[in-house]
Amino acid sequence: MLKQLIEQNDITVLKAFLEDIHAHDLAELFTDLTQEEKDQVYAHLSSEKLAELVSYLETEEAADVLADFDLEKQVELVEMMEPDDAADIILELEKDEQEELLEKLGEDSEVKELIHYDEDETGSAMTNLFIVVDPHMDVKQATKKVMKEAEDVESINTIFVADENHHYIGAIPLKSLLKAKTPLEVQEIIDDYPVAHDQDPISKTIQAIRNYGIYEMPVVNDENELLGMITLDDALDIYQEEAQEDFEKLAALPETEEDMSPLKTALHRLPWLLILLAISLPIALVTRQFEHVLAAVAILVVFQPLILDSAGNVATQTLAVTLQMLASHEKGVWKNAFKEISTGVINGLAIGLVAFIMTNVFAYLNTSLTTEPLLISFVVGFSLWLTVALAPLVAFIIPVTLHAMKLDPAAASGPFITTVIDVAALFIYFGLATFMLGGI
Amino acid sequence: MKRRINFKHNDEQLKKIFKPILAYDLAMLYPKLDDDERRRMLSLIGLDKMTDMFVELDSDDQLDVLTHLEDQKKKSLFRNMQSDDLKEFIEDIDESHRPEIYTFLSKVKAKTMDLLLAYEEDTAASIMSTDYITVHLDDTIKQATDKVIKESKEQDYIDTVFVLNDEDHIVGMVDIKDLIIARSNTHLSKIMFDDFQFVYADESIEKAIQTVVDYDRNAIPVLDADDHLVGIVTADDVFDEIIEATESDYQKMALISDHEPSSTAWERSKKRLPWLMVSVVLNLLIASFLSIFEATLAEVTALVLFQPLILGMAGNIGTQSLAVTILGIHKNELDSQNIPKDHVIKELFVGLLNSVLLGLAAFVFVTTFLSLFPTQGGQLPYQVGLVVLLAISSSMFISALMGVYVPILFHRFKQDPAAASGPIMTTINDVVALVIYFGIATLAFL
Repeated sequence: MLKQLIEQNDITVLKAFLEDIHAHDLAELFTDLTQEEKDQVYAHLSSEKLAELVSYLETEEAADVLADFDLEKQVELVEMMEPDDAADIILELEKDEQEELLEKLGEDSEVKELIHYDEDETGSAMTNLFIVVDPHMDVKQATKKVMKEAEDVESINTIFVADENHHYIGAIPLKSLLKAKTPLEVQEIIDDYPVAHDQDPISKTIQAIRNYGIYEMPVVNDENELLGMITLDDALDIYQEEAQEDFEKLAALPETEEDMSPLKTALHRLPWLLILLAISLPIALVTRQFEHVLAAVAILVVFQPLILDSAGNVATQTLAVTLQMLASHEKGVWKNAFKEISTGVINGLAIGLVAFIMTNVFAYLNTSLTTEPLLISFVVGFSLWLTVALAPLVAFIIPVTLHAMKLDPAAASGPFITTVIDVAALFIYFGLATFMLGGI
Repeated sequence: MKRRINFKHNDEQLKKIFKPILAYDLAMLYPKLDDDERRRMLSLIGLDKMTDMFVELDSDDQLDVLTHLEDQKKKSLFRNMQSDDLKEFIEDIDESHRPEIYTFLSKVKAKTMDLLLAYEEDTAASIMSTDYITVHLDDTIKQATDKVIKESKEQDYIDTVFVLNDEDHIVGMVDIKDLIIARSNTHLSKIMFDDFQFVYADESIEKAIQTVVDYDRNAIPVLDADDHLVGIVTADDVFDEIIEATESDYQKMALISDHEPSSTAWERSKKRLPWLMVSVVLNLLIASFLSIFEATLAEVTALVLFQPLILGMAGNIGTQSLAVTILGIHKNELDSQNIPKDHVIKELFVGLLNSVLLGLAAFVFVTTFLSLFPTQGGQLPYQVGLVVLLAISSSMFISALMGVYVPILFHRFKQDPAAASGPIMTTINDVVALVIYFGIATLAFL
């Protein structure tokens, strides 16, 4: 659609089209354009729309677009954007371009303050486009202030109350303010309202926005000074990104980027698969130690997937639960670990018993396979119990240790856990088999 | 919020204690109180807060709240609730309780509930609210503002108002911000935007969610087939839906459906055991089947060393393509009707490439390993290496194939694509991989 319009080169139609289209839709079309076509779009786009377009693009692409312009235009665009969006994009610029732009933006630029925050901190996603009123103002005066400033802010649905030293006091829904009858001081109609701290983890703040069902969350610093707010739409975007990341990590997928060539995608996913290859070295070494018993009782081999799979499944469950707790900074990780291990012991007993009975029946029916059905089924069932009870312990200790070492537990836990559990499971299984059946 | 309320205080003091506690936190507290404490709390917190708390509770606790309230108060509570919250409450409780609840609803509200409950579960209409403000295109700014300020009810969504024409068709939306700063002689059409985004009532929830997210709107209108406004979908409800959907995907992938952080070890066992049991039983079935290869295994003990490698590889590449496909389906990039060719071709190419690469790497690994650490059998290291190469490449490719197609098929038949990540998939992958592995070995060495 956009491509054809550019090709036809009818400036009036193109201009009208660019003016009417929603920035989100424009951003989707824009991504597919060639550099020349993009230049055409730049030439006919108003600065406001360009700033909107940049906000809707993926951050990296947005940074590329921003870099296409000279410094003066960059400053103009950044000032039109919401500060949190702008800060994200500036962080993606080349170092020297970044410094130049920040310098040019001037001392009191909101963007500059946001850039100091770590990506995981609540402060990094704040915007300061809201209305603040004084607690001693009359409601009529406050309403006037709202009407006067409404044009320059993102939303007026929640009005924040702070004293002359910017100390946060509370919030008022617009509806209560509009319905209030003068004479009445603003502080009389303040509602209970949650508040977040600028250094809180962003995931915690997002959860709070959801729990309290609010559209704007005020953010204060340690001195209780009102710094900004997080809006629901930003919270939503951040949540979706983080959730996708978590999901990908669980599936051992590196961060996906759309529009990557299949070859690049394949190479991108290769490392984790190669790690598995490396892991199989200790597994093969351990198994080799038990070659004698395996040669004598070959049937043991067919139950090996059962034991490794079950331990793996249980470990994944504990890992997911532990990761969620670490990510949301909940307390009680240790208490949770105790529950997980107890769960492992209970479930291990249950499936161990089932495996014992089933293996026994199976071995009795195929007497050609073994002369010791009872012993074999005992080895299978008991090893299963032990490994399934052990799995949660490993799947808990490893992420917690990585977390304490300031490494990302979600990304690194998988390979470690798989190795430790597989090796331990094989030791238990084949070791028990040697002990019980070694004489056969 | 870790807070203990001391119920020894008198009512006046207790009221003061409750005042700064937010409704959500009260809802977290409620299940921990005894009957007496609950009754006192309910009588002291005021209707608005009680309403906000009520919607956050589980349906069992919601019914419990009702037992502590007089009829008049129940009426006020239901009157005060947003229509979508009330609908959700009625939907979740047992059918037998419904007639009683209906006796406390006004006629209009009861009708609204019947209407909302009639929509199918996965449609945009099922998460919509009917508490919004409409104005007529020819209303003056003053009339419109009055509707918002004076005539609106407590639960109404006022951040955006919806503009209707004579035929009751929606023609635009006005943000409250623009309405209250507009000069009194401005015509509504000047301040409304008419290129608004909307969904139809029978479109999917996903469509509604995507529209709200893509266009950063706090509310979008829901229209019926004749373009009449029937409700709105608000961003806070969308947020809830998104969180629930992603958490459920994550939990399915991690085999921990319906995990609650507060549940005890015993409860966790009960919830997780069924899937584990399925996996164990399936695995035992594989085992009994594999015993036909016993002779091969006894003869070629080296095979056992690399069995976990082959199963792990096939499982992991399958998980990768499965996760990509599920994410694609959820982001609406993959349509349920026509098979998304690009995605499938790309994933299959990626699967093929990595299967071959890993097969080659495994060949080198196995050959080197067996040269360094020989086993009892009489096979040469490179022979076992070749068997592993063939087994890994083919089983990885098949697993990648299933990771792509199974969720797409599930989605097409209106099943949850994330369900494809269960133990049944793993088992199928295992059987395929092991049959290929031992099969090739039997052909090669016996």
